[in-house]
Formats: sequence, C-alpha cells, structure tokens
Amino acid sequence: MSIMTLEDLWVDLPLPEGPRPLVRGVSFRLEAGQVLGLMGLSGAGKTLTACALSGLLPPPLRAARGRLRLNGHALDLSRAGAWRKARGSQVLLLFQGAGAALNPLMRVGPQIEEALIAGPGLPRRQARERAAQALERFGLGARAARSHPHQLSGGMRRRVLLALAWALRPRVLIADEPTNGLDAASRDEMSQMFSQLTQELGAGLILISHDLRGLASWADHLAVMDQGEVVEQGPTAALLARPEHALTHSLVESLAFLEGAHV
Amino acid sequence: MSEELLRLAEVFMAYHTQDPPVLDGVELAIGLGQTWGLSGPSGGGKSTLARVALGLERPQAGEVLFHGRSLAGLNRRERREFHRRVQVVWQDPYLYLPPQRSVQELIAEPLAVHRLETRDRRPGRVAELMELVGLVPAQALAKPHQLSGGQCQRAALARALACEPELLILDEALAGLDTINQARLVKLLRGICQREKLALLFIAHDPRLIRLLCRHEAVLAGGRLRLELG
Repeated sequence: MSIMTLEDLWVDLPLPEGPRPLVRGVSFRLEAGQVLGLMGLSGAGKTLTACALSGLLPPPLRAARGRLRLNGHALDLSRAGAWRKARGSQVLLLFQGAGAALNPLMRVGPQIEEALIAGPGLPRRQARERAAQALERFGLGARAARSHPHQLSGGMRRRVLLALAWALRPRVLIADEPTNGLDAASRDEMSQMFSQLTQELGAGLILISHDLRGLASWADHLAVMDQGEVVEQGPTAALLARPEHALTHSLVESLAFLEGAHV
Repeated sequence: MSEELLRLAEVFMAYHTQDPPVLDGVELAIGLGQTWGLSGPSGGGKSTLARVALGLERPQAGEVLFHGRSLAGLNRRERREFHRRVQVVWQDPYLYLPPQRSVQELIAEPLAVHRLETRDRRPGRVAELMELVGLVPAQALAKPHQLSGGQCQRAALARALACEPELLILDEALAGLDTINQARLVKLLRGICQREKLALLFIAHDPRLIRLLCRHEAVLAGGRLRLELG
C-alpha cells in the first residue's frame, strides 16, 4: 500500500506579468520501505518539489495546485493553513549540508527535544529521554548532545539529523543530496544508516540528487525531472536499461562512460 | 621516465605543533605530460599538497622543485613564469572567480597578465578557448552567478588553459557536478591532455574518475604518500 501519493503538483513564482510555474504537474507515489530517487540537473525543480511536500516553500513561492495523500489523509497543497494540523511531522525534509539544517545557537540535544515538543507534542521530560536515546542510537553520547553544531564534525552533524528523524518517526523522509562531498566510504556508511533508519520506521525515503551513480545503486525507483516536470519514472533497473526520454538517455550514457563500460 | 616537471621533495607541513603533520616527508615527481590521480580520506592533506605544489604555501621542511630548480630560489620573473605554467581549478568556482567579471573577461585576463597574444588577437583566442571547453558565444557576457555549476567550472578551466600551462591541478574540480557534466568534462580533459602534452594532478574522492583520467595513482593518508603501481 502506498504511504504517500502526490498528484499534479504545481509551484509558482508570482511575477507582475503573471505567475511563472517552476514545478509543473509532478505526480508520484511512495510505498513503505521504498527508496525513490528524484533525479535531475540543477534547476530542474527537485528541491522545490521536496519543499512543497514538506510545507517549506520559501515565500513568495507557492504551491498553486497539488493533492497529497498521506496515511489515509488527503491534503490540498495549495491551502497553506491545511498543513500543520494534518501533516504533523510526518514528512521530514533533511537539507543538503547538515550545517544549514541545524540551529547554530542551540546545543543539539535541546534542538531534538524542541522538535519533539513542537511536533508530536511530547512532555519535556519524555522529549529529553527520547532525544538522548536517539543520539545514542547513532553513536552520539551525552557530550555530543551538549555540543553546538559547529563543535561537531560534518559526519557527526549528519548523524544528528538522522537521530532527529529517528526521534520524530516520520512516514516520509526526504534527503536532499545527503552524500554530497563525502568520500566513498562515508557515502556507503551514510546510505546504510539511511536504509536501516527507513526500515526501522517503516517509512518511505525520497532521495534527491544530481548524481545518477549514487542513486542507481541506492534507489528502487527513479523519477527524472527536467524543467519542472517529471519526464520519466519507473523501477531503477528497467529505467536504466530502457531510457525513453532524451535526458534520461544522456544520463544513462554518461553513467556508462563514468563506470568505464564504454571507454 | 619522462623529463621531470615538478617534484615535491621530503615535504613536511603541520598546522599546529601538537597535531600530527598533514604532510610528513611527502615525495612526488610529476614528469612532463604525466597524469597523476591523488586520492585519500577527507582531511588527509590533499588540498594542502595542492597548495604546496602551487607555491601558495611554503613547506616547513623539504622543497618543491620546478624543472629541477627549487621554488624558494626563483627570482620574481621566474616565479611569475612558474605561476603561469602550473595552473589550478578548485572545487567551487564561485568561491574564487571574480564575480563581477564576464566569462570573456575571465578568460582574457590571464592572456593580458602574461602577455600571451598580441592585443588584437586576444578576442579570437578567448573565442577558441570558450569553444574548446564547450561554452557557447552567447555565454561570453554572462557572469559567474548567471551560470550553472558545470558552465562555471568550464569557464574556470578555460581561464586556466589560457595560460598554456604545463601542469594542471584539479582539486575535486568535478565533484559537485551532475552525471552528464562530469562525463563531458572527463572526455574534454582526456582529449586536451593527449593533444597538448599537459600534465595533470587530479585530486578526487572517486577512484573511478581517477582511473578514467590518470595513468599514475597516489594515495595520501596520515601525512604519507603511497604510490600505487598500476
């Protein structure tokens, strides 16, 4: 059963001469435990789609249309007010660069606590316990919990975000370029931690990336975006074997070249 | 063994006296036209090695030799010549390309600084270089912020190639790019290295990219450089 269905999402940039659509009619579905790769070149609208899904579109951008079915609830994405109540913290977006996602002025333990109080509405003591548990689950102890984000390494900051996700138990986890700038070993470690986390939560994972190589080995399904539209989607293996759209074609060709298949 | 172009001899660097050294007796000889790949864990000193090789940082012990002569012993004119012949493209072009200059100005600047063409031939040379890296004439007036990451990296590459270098250092220069742009730039660089006898020091996390571009490989870890015999 799908845990999430997105239908006909449009995101507009309002301009004096009329709205300019930046995301145009995007639809896809996500099953529990599934990893969906949202692939495209920069400026294709991948991040905007993720922001719209999690209610975080930066003004003046707005969702002009779009229906989201989540856990049996139906939501009209163009009605901003409908958001908070129905969504809770069921769609969690982890931004590229863990530095940007964390509050630099707050110690990381209290940041997770705060999210648990504001989102699922836990009482403070319970929130504190769950935050400590979450950090420990990702190998971060009491000392890390008392640290400010800048005192932690990049890898530790990424694990703080995973701990946050674990504590909030979202149904849908969206990760925007989660492995950018990591070396091969850390990349594998990161993808393993993400996979375990989504399994454990029974959640679906949407991975956003412009690196097809990372996605090809990680995602079960791929959706290829170009100029605000999903131009092709399907199971990863099938899509890579028989690309139909010109962009998917050149992506697959480039991938084959980089993998050394046609040197 | 081809003639030696650049050599790091027993190079030692430590940022703090109490920390382990970043480069601990590093030895690397790059011959004319040789392509070298350099990998190693994050924070392992790869970019420090690049800065030392570029003469931007002076090693605390050891020396860097360019055509057999120590950088420390070059006079002003020779040093200028060294800085022309050893060029670099860093990972993030937006961080170091002057943001107020257009693509054609970015590429023309080194031609003027190093007096590489007569003044009236420079616009033609700029157009050639733009074509070489796959930028279209319509992009000549664009400034870095108006270009995508891939386009901007091409402009940075054209600016480096304008100097007619003997050695090009690429520090994770393909890392942030999408799959299509990575493949295009690898093909482009392979062609240039073969045609122009350009030597390469290609720093990358990704061993597959290194194997596509380089014949020689080295790994830097714990301050030590290990040569991979391939």
